[in-house]
Amino acid sequence: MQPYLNDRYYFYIVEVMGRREYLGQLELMVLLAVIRPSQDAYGVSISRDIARSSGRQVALASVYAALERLERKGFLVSCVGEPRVERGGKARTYFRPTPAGIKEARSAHATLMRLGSGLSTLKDEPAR
Amino acid sequence: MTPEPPQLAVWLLKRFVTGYRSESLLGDLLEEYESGRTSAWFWRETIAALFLVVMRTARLLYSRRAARVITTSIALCALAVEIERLSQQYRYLCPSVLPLPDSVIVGSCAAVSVTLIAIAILHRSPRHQRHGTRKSTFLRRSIAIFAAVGLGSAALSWASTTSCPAQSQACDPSSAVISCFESSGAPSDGR
Repeated sequence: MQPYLNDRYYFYIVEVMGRREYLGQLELMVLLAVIRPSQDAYGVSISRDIARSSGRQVALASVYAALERLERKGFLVSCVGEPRVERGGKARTYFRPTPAGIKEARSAHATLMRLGSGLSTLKDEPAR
Repeated sequence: MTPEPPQLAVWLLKRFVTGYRSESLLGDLLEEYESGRTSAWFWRETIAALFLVVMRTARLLYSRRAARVITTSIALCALAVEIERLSQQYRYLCPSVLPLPDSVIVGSCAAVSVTLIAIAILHRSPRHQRHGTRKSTFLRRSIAIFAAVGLGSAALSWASTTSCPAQSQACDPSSAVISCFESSGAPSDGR
């Protein structure tokens, strides 16, 4: 069935189509941490993965801000689990990547690999 | 026995960090605290969460209001300049019809502009609207303002070309210019 569209939505469509969603560094790290297949991804596990891989602590609020952006872009979906006592009765929110998210992560990873090919030819000399 | 997390920090999180998955964020912080994190860590995470909320709110309000104010200001300035230009033209052609001095016209335009800009700054968009709807509403309002300016200018231009009500003769710009030169003693043909 064709969606009902008329010229009232013209400017909205132009605005939406004109926006290109690029991934930031933290967004890409969060997306890759969610894609890792060995676990159910939620805030704490994502934060630990990033800290272990990058050696830097990331605030949980920043992780959730990135998760919100990724979910809004359609790269993730979330579902709420059961409430737990050790969390003060709060439930975990689990995240899964969508096919669009996996495609975007692959694309970003390939782009970084291509752009980073020059690094292997560099010597470890300080810039003058 | 695990000590309780800082109650003030928990209260701040519950009170101010609302929105996307805020319950899960609080649960994650409590889970990490239960697993051996310190109170300093808990406070650091709380401050980071509050900072993000403040930055997001400020960015949202600033960008939306700034765009609205700039658009409204440009439209109102264009309207004021056009009214002033047409009033000058009309007064020049029909001097007895428009007794208002320049200062009154410019002052009125400035007062209306300042009032409308203040309304634009203080007016709040309705909450609980989708982001795209808000943006398209803003765009429609901007277009409506520019359309109103254009229609108003066209109407005033049309009015200035019609006959002068206070004089029986038509407002012919060329004759008005000639009569003006004649009354001031200057030669009408430039010699």
